[in-house]
Amino acid sequence: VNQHDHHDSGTSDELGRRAAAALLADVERRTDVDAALRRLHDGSATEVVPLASRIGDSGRDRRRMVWLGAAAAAVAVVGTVTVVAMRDDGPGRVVPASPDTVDGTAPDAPRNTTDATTVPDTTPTDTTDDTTPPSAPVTTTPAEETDPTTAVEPTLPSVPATEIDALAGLVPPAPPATVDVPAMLPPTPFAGPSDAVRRDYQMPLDEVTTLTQTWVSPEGAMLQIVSQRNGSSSPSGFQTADVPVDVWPWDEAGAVSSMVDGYGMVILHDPSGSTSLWGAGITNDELVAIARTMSIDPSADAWRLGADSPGDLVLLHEGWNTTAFASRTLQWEVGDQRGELVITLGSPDSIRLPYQFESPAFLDSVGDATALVGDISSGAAISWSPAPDVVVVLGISGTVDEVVAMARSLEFVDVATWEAASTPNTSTDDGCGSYFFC
Amino acid sequence: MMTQRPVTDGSGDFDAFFRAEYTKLVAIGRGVTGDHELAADLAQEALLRCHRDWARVSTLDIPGAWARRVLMNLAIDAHRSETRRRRVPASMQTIDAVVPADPAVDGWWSAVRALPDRQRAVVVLHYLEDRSVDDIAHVLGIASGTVKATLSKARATLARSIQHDRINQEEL
Repeated sequence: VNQHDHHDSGTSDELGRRAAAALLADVERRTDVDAALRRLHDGSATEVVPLASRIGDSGRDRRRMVWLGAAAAAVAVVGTVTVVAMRDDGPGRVVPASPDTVDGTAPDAPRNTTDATTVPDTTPTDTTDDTTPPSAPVTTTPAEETDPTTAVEPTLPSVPATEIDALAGLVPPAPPATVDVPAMLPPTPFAGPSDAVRRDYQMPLDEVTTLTQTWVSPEGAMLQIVSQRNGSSSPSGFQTADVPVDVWPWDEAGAVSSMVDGYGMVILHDPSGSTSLWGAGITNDELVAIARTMSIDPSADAWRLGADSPGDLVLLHEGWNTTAFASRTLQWEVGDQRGELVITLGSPDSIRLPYQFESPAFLDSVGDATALVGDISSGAAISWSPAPDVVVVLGISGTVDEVVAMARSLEFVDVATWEAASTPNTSTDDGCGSYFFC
Repeated sequence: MMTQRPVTDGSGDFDAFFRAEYTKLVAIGRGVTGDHELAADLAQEALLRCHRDWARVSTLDIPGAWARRVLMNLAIDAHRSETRRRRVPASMQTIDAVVPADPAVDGWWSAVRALPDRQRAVVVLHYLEDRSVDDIAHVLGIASGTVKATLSKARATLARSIQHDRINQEEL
């Protein structure tokens, strides 16, 4: 942080205090505490009536939004992804780029690598030694569509819905640790440790724990299902869903009718928690149809869509978001060429890279995983999930083809190799130091 | 553990608690959402929940902290939902002008609204209530170190934003 920044921080700080005082004064001027207290006592006797009906001069959409906002608590924000298209022809297919685009140049230093189509087991461990190599690689099949022969269908139709916990199969995991984050390196983006810096980061456990799953379709639709168990900090807000619908075995379900065109939301509620389906390019009727096919795959501890689910939705990523996460970041700069690799464990929201895209994002693939790729303000970026709970984001000051090629060239390495390839970031400036993703 | 500006000792009745907290909660909600009417609804809802569970809430060391956490969750949820619906950056959304004659003030709040959720929550509590790092950690239920790092990031971002705005003003 240079002197100029210090000066700006001071100016901003002064302005912040002035702004806070001004806001407080304005709020006091506009607030009638006694009237608010009367409204509360008048309304609190009617427990089942939504807030919008209890508060005196309600009726505006915005007031209803208070509850809808709460209803959307579990839904991560993915709003700006409006166009997701195939890079190549063929609706319903994810077409890999030609493998000969991969830079196969040998690395400068000896590496302990594994094939990029296999990934380390990311099951959290209680290991605290950061030099310990990841567990032995295991073969996985991320982005796998539901196999109707293995999906768990509701089997107890005679049992009243209230006696079935629709969320019972979802068990939040322990918070992730940096040691569990797989390490990956591209073959030759920089000459050696002096050209690259790394940063390991671990966000402590917070209250909210949600399972977030994201599907995309070649036609540009996006579905996000977010499940939340009790104990989280956000209420379901279900009761304000405008149109009650019947989705077995959930105790209650509702479709939110006030979404803007092109978006839909359906909320499912059980005593143990809630699940929200948010769709871009998916109608509420389609979301209800999807919800009726959902079942928990015990082997994945996550929702799967039934074979009769509408749309050609492909699972992009899924994982538990405890708001705690651990990550490894690598940045390199050679001349005017920059690159940044972020590997995150436990924060599925980080797949929201499309927020950064300046043009329509494309579906592509890295190994077996579906990937989102597109132009960003100063280059190109790609995001995919090589393993459960793991999200990789790669940005370079280059083209889409180059970033795809580099993504496919990444190799899993052990921690010693990861550390040997770069220099620790010793900066004390904890502002956003990302080249591309602030 | 909160050490600064305890908002209530928890010994009063609910109405006294409401009168002591309502305006502050509205201010916090408005700081997060930029919308006075929405903030008033959020404050009302947070206090209604306190009222419903007053037998338990009133036994907390600092019931005001509980109310603030409820309000902050509601406000962030509402802000997220509004952002998604409008599909425009938070910094570009229409907000209630705080001081119409002072664009710098509204510019600062717009920059706050563009911050990520946690940073916005921390900044609002820090500036509006002059709370310490430990206080904010208690209210939000997160570690003090996280608050410190988050506040540092937010302040750096705000400083850059203010500088950017100033340069744009000068160019105009």
